[in-house]
Amino acid sequence: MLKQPHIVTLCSVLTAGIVLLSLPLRVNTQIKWVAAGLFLPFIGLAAAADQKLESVQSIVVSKQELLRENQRLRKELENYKIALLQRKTVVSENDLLREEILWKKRQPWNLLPARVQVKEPSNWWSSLYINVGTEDGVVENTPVLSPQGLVGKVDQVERHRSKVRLVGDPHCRVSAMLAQTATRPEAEQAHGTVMTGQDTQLNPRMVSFQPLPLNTRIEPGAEVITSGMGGGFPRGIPLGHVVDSRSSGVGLFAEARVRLTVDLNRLEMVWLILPAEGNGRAPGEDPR
Amino acid sequence: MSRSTFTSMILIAIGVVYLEARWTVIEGGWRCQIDVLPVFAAYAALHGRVGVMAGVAALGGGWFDLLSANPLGTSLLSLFLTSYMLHGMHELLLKGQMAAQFFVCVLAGVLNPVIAGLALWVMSADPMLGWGTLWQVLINAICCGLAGPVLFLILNQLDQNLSHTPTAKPWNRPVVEVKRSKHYHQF
Repeated sequence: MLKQPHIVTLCSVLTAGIVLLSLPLRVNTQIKWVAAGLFLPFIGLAAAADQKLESVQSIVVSKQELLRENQRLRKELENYKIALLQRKTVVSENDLLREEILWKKRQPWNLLPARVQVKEPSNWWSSLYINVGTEDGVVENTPVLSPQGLVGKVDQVERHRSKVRLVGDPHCRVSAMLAQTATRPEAEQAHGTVMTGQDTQLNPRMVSFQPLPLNTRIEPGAEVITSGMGGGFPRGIPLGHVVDSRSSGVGLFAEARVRLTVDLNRLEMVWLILPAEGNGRAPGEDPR
Repeated sequence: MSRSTFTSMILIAIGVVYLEARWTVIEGGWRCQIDVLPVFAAYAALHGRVGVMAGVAALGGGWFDLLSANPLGTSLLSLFLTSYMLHGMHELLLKGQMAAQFFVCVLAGVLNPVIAGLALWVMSADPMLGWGTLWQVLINAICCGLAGPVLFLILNQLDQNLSHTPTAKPWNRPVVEVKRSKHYHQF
């Protein structure tokens, strides 16, 4: 037989849980922010512990190793400087041609670096928290990148931190297309959406690219990039490479399995493309 | 369970959840994010009262939901129901036995994600559910089972060190108390 305190506690916890879960997502998120205040000392403590750990690591690394790393980075920087010179001439040429056909100039990306704080501790989602928020100019749906390709988009923004939904999460769908190559003319660039696939749950790097027209040539290894459609992400950011493809939806369309170029589990630093001032559009977005 | 043991248990749980979120292991051979929070729910169920169970679910689960994309309240519900179901066994089990601890923690490791997944599915939150979930529940349950006896040992030790057990007063023990019969004077 249940005792009275048991019944009271059981009923109150169940009611609290059900009420919280049945609230609209936006309200639930706001309550979550308020609740985060209760755990603020732990968040601060965790950040301090991380910093301490980093300083301990820096003591352990030998000077010789640091010098080697420094030399390697210098070489890499020089290579990039030369590549940038080449790119500058291409960009100015591109701007001239755009002027000729009365297209707007492409705006350079306004990038903001961010450090990954924590990753998703449950198996239901693919997300992470970064250490920048509204104070740094971050807004919802800001695209998040790494040097390898697209990481995801900002889902919720707090003052000093933001939640990022990673590519492959059920709440982060990306308009994508097959990249143009010498063997694939622009007319054959199939468009679709990169979303959670059957394998994503056990391997977050495997996503699904669908729906594609059945007659599309989808060779394994073909590059998949963002298409810029829908305005969520700028065009041309690498997403991944096709692993294989099959017909899906009772033979109505084709579906490709794509392996993401970014290793989402080893992310330490990411870059956010902040919106351009004035037009509210993501910089680099094709103004066509 | 004393208040200090409860506070220590909550602090350990918060630390463990933070470590889970800091160092993800999904890309390893496991293909699963390990969550040992159900072990704390199991400990609360076997050693504490209903208030302790609610406390672990609210504070541990709340912290877990804050670090996760879960809607707030998911872990509160799943952890509390898990510990409530296990609480029914707290008088039957040999909770000091390592094998019993292993099986209780395995059960907690199964119940918690199943209830959480069910809650998310019912509220149409669209989580990543599929055949892979079975594998992840299995691996998580085994990991909880293995972590259980170790965490139980630590928490029991903490309980012993932090709890105050009053010493019996020899002059007040009922077994040695002499009671005079009302017919004493008749002898």
